This record gives sequence, structure tokens and C-alpha cells, in this order.
Amino acid sequence: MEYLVMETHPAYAVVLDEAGGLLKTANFGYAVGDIVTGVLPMKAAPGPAPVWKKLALPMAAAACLCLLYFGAYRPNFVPYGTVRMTINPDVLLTLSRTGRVLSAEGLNGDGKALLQGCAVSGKNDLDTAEALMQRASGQGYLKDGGTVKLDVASANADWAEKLGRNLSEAMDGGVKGKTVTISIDYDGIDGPELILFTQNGVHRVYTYDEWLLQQQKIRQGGAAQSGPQDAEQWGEETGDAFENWGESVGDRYERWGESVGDIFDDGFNAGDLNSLDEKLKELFH
Amino acid sequence: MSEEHVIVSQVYRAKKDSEAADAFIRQYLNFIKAETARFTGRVPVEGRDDELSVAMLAFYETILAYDRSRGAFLGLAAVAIRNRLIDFSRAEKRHSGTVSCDEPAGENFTVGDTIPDRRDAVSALADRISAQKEIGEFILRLADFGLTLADVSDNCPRQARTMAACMGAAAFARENPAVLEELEQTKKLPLNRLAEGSGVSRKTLERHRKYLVAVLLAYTNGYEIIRGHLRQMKGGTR
Repeated sequence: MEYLVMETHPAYAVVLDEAGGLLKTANFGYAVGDIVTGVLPMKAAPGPAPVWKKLALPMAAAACLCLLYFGAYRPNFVPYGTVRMTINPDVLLTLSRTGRVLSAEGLNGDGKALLQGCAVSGKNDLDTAEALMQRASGQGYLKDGGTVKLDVASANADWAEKLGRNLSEAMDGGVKGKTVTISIDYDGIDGPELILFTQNGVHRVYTYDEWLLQQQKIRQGGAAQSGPQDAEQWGEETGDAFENWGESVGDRYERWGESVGDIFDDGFNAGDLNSLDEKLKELFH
Repeated sequence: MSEEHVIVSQVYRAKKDSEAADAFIRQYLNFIKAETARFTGRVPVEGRDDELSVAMLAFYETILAYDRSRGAFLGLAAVAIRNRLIDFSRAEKRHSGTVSCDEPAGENFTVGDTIPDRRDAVSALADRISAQKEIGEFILRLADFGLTLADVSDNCPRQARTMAACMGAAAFARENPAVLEELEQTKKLPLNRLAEGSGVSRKTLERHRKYLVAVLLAYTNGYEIIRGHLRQMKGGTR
């Protein structure tokens, strides 16, 4: 193809090809008006980089950070729930989502003593629970027939429930040969409390409804008549009693308030103190 | 202001202004020669060594492609020159064994001077002078429209399909002199008439407006040599 040189510059020439294209080429000593062949065209300058290319690196870095934060840091290093273990030693464990113990705090003197010399931070929650039970048993805090209360708190109810069940099983491993009752309470979660009974290494976890059902079966089979049904009755009776008591106390205070108010309305002087005392005696005796 | 910042501002000016680009290239000619010499192993002579022309083109390409985020300009230019020279030397290897007409054959003459020229040198010179005159006029005419040949070259379609579409629009204008007259009178490209008449989308025409103005101007009276050179142009889509 022949090219007509249209314009020359020190570094390039503008030539017209036979197809009507104007292109910039290397200027091999061309002069305007020359007809030349075998030109060396200039490479097209790259346009501005697309936005996605400019953002690719920061976005990749942000994605990596997110991955690190949500994939590693948050599940392992951010508190997700707490377990308060009350034997007599009172211990509060703060756990990550993956069950890593972030901190352990003795809430009373025995709790501090139990944790002394026991590095649990960074360890697995189940191992820690088993170890603490062993230590409590070994140090004489937990005896045969003793009770352990677990308070599990987390915003995730499923996680807390699963943790409670797993912890109770692990704790059971720490007190082999003893009969221990472990009750689990879930803070901030509506619903029945879980009850775990451990006897001679065999344990069962019940929801409150399951427990009632279990007791009903026992009664139908002629077994023991004690348990939650009695507790239920006791609860009802106690509730009634408290209701009555509340009403009567309320009435009394109302009457007392009226009397005191009357005294103050009538005007108060030192001599009235005796009459107030008399009136209070009348009300409460 | 540090030297690097001065260069950057010069480069950014040269991107937009071809005269500033020429001045900048002349200013850094010694740098370009040094980079060429580093590659060829000898000092290049301006106007004789093709490698120097290639290096200057590479330097100009670097100006157009440069962005602050890519680092120091001179370092980038040195790499671009070297890469261009490597490509050029590979392409030239195909012609190894041949002798350039510009190679010196004696003290005051080149190889080309020793070859008998069968062309009519006087007529060729006259043709070239006519072409120069016509092209000069064409450049002035473009200037009336606020355009330079460098602008037109930058706006020239790169893809064959787009080029064919633009040529289709040009063919329509050639067959309808009223379109060319309207262009000359209003100094505006009649985009609607071209789009309707040629069937090419207005968007395509708008994108290559500068190029189309130049081509249509070439079809007006007085540019015989340029039109003659475009003898192989074909009408595109209709």
C-alpha cells in the first residue's frame, strides 16, 4: 500500500493511506507530499483504564481484609457468648463463636482460687469446662450429689443451646464416679430451661416439657410420684399464697399511707410521733 | 518545583498540544539518542538511522500513554524505546542481506545515488511541489474548522467496520453535493442528513466527526491529488 505523507513532525509523520485512513507513523526522513511504502504505524495510545481496573486492587484488598476479619478474626477473637459456672467457685468464661476461651474470670474468692495456675485463655471451651470440673472436684468444691449451675448467654439462641448441651457432656467427663446435677440457664432466651441430671456417669438433658413428659411416664408406670408435677403444684400454691400475701400487704400499706397522709395533712408536731407509732402498731399487729 | 514534576507537566501539555510535543521531543533528543546508542552500540545520526526515528516514535508514544501513576516518565520512556527497538530489529532481520539506499557508498554519495533512476526526476519534483501546495491548502482549510491533521488522525476509525460505515457516509455526500455545500457554508457536519441518507447511525458519525469533516472537505473542489490518492476508497454501508 502506498501512503501520501500529509504532515511531518520530529517524531512522527501523518500519512494518508489508500483506504482513506489517516495514521501516524515513524518519520523515516519523510517530506510532505512524498508517496511512501512500508511505514511503521504508531501504536494506539491506551485509553483511560476502566473504572473496574482502577478499583480492582483496592477491592481485592478490601475483600482480603473482610475475609480475614469475618473468616478468622471475628470467629476466633471477638466475644460471642459467656458461660457462668457456679459450683461454689463462681467462674465466668468469655467465648468466641468457635468456642475459643477468650478470658476466664473468678467472680468470687473460690472462683479465683480455682483458676489460679490454670491457663485457660485460648483453649477450647469443652476442654476448659472438663478441666475446671476436675479441679473443682479435686479441690473439694464439688462433692457427690453436688449441683453445678451454668448460665449461658449469647445473642444466638441456637449457638447457646448447642454450647450448653456440649458443655454439660464435657463437664460430666470431669466428674466421673460422682452424681452431679447440672442445670443450664439461658440468659436472654425465652423458653424452658434445660435440666441435666448426671448419675454415675450417665446423664440426660431435658427441656422442661420433656421432663414433665418423662415424669408422667414414670407415674403411669407406677414409679416415683415426685418431681416437677409436685413442683408445679407447689408453684401454683406458692403463687396463690404470694398473691394473697401481696394483696394483704398492699392493703396494709395503703391504709398506712392514708393514715400517715392524714397525720401530715392535719399538721405535724413532735407530739404526733406517739400517735403515729400507735397507729402503725394498730395496722401491723 | 522538582525536575520530575516539571517533566510531568511538560508531558501532560504535550499530550494535548502537538507543537508542545515537538518541542518536548527536541528538548529530550539527546536522551533519545543515548537510549538508541545504548541499544545499537553506536551514536545514531539524525535523518539517516532508522533506529533513531523508531526511538523518537516510541518516545512520542510514551508521551501519549503516560499517566502519573505509572512512575517516572524518563524511566518509562527508556523501556518503551528499548522494546520498540527490539521489535524493529526483529522485523528488520527479515531484510538482512539487503543494503539500504541510504547507506553511504563513498565520501559524498549514498548507495541510492549509484543506482540509475528511470523516473522523470523533474516531473516527480513538480508533482511533489504540487502535492505540498495542495496539502498546505488542505491543512489551512481544516484550520478553518478548528482541526489539525493530528486531530483527524487521532479521530480516524481503527476498525474496518467503522471505517466502512464512515466511507458509506462519505460516498453519500459525494453523490449529494448539497451536503458538501452545507458543510462549507455552516462549517458544521450535517449529521442528520448524513445519517438518514447513508443509513449509518448518528452515534457512529458523531464519534468520528473530525475525520468525516476532513474526508468531506477532500471531496470539495481543489484537492485533486488527495482525491486521486483515495482512488481505492469504496462506499460502505448504504
